[in-house]
Amino acid sequence: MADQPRGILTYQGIPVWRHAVLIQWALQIISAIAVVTLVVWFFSNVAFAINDRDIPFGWNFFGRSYGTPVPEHALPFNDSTDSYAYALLVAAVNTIILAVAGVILAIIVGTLIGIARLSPNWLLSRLSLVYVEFFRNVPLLVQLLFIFYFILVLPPITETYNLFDVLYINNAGIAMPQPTLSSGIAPGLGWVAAAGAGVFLGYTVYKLRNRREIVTGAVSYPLLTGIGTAVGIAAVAWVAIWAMAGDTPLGLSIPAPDDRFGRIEDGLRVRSGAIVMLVGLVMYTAAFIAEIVRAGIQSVSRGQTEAALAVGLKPVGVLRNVTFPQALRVIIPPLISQCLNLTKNSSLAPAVGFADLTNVGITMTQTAPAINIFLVIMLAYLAMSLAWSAVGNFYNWRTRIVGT
Amino acid sequence: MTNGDASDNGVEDIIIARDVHKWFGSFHALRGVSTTVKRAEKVVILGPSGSGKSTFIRTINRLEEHQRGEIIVDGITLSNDVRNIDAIRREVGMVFQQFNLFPHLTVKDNITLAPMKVRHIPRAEAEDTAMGLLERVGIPEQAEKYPAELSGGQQQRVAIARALAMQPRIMLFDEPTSALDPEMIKDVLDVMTELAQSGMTMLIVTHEVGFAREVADRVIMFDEGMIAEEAPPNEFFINPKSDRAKLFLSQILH
Repeated sequence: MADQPRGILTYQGIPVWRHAVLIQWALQIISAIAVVTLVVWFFSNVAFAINDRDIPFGWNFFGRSYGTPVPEHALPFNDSTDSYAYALLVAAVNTIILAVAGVILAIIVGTLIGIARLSPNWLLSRLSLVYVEFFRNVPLLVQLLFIFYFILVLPPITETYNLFDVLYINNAGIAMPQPTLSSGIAPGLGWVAAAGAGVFLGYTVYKLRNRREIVTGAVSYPLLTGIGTAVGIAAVAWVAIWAMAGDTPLGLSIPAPDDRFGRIEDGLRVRSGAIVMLVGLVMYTAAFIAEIVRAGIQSVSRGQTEAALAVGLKPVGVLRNVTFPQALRVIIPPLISQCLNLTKNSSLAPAVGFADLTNVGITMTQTAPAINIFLVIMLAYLAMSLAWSAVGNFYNWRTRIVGT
Repeated sequence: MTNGDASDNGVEDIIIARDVHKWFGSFHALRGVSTTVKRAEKVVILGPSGSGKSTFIRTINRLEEHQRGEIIVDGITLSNDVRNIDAIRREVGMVFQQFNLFPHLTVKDNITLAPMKVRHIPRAEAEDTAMGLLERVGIPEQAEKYPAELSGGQQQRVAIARALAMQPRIMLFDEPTSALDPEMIKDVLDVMTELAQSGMTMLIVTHEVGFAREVADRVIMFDEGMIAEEAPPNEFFINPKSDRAKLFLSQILH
């Protein structure tokens, strides 16, 4: 090629504005400059505004004592001595407990509804359809408020529903019995450890017996012997520790109404805000998960079901051994995104008075710099979301299919 | 034609279809199909697409439900009784056009799944059987691979092994070579020929005329949901009686 352009604006004999690699580089550099400019502009603006208007900013509030109660706390919390940082941790634990419990229940409910949606039973599949369409299409905040007001209709504590003197239900929440370490930490945890070992041994027995049944064909009652082993060990440990310590390994804290102050003491007391959040998040997210499960099962080709039926598997066996394992690959990624949604949606808790991260954060802004508080809270939610993603990636990696 | 061994049910006519009708919505797919297949007989089913030939063999193991008429497989009447359906599916193996191997299981697990879950055969025994069957179809070295790592011909041979693992008395083949590259068709047909020689009762929907001539005891031609002609292969291919069969043969034999 004789008329190849020569000059200062060529590289490798190509004009720079036509050089594919150089164009890529130029675009990269331009976008990087744009991003840096935007970020600098944003943060300098915020910094100017904070200075201009004397908005408090800084991190030394972290160590100060918070001095405000946190209504729900799974971790022990003393509002007169514990710090802001610790209060945020307590609130984060509340959010995590709500999110994990919510995700587990939502997956169970959602999977059942998703399978029911594909049921040949007309009534079952219609009911599932109505459920999905209702809960998907009403705003979550409205659903939460509805449950909140629904619970308010329940009688007040002074006229609480009382089931057998162990379970109390009223418009402030639920109180139920709870095992405690009332007879000392050593016997209590000792028994829990023994029972745990029993469950582990029982599971081992189950596996071994199951294997024996599979390998030799001899009837071995794997489930029965496994559960028997676990229960047996737990029972023996209970009696042994009782005999040695002179008291039962675990106590039981049973709730009881305190008529003088009109409240319920002892037991595990769950306030209505927590119930509203858990029920609301589970029902709402389950509707989305049901659709994901349905789509996942339907993504497995009809031929797979036919082949499984043709070799003699029964419908439940087809679902368990053929359809569902393949559907899982399709289900897991959007399912993880629903776990993230549930966790993030738990930040609606302030509307119903549950002391989650966001709610405690809002309260803190009255006595500490809001921007700092919410920076920390955002990082906390980000960490939780990344944790869910890690779980999902691990699962994806384990269930991958070779060769596709 | 050999008669095979005396069976458990002692039935010579292993498949009896009487006036079988099937509708897909308003489409009348099977319009009164009646035929009888004897133990160890090899029947090749031909016909233009949409003639109901696949639908017919799929009614035999209840992948399609027939709405009128009667189907009796090895003495068991196919009805809505789930126990009868399960019993028939244990007797009848099926090979599909699209293989339909389970992609999440290895070749060996594809073959052992049903014997272990349905017949409760111990794993070691099921795996021995699986390896024996893989030898028989000529690909024992592929046992630990996943279906997607195999060629189409290899996948179809695994599918045959998977069906045989349940020790069926009858094998249904629904266009087993139609999705294969030409050079792989022979491998699969060889396996089927060997199976035919071993005395298996076989119903084969196929367009492979050479195979039909060599293996079939009888050819059934379907047209518009009915049996248009039924004859031994030599008679059918050389001297077809019906006009419909003559037209069809002129289209597929060039």
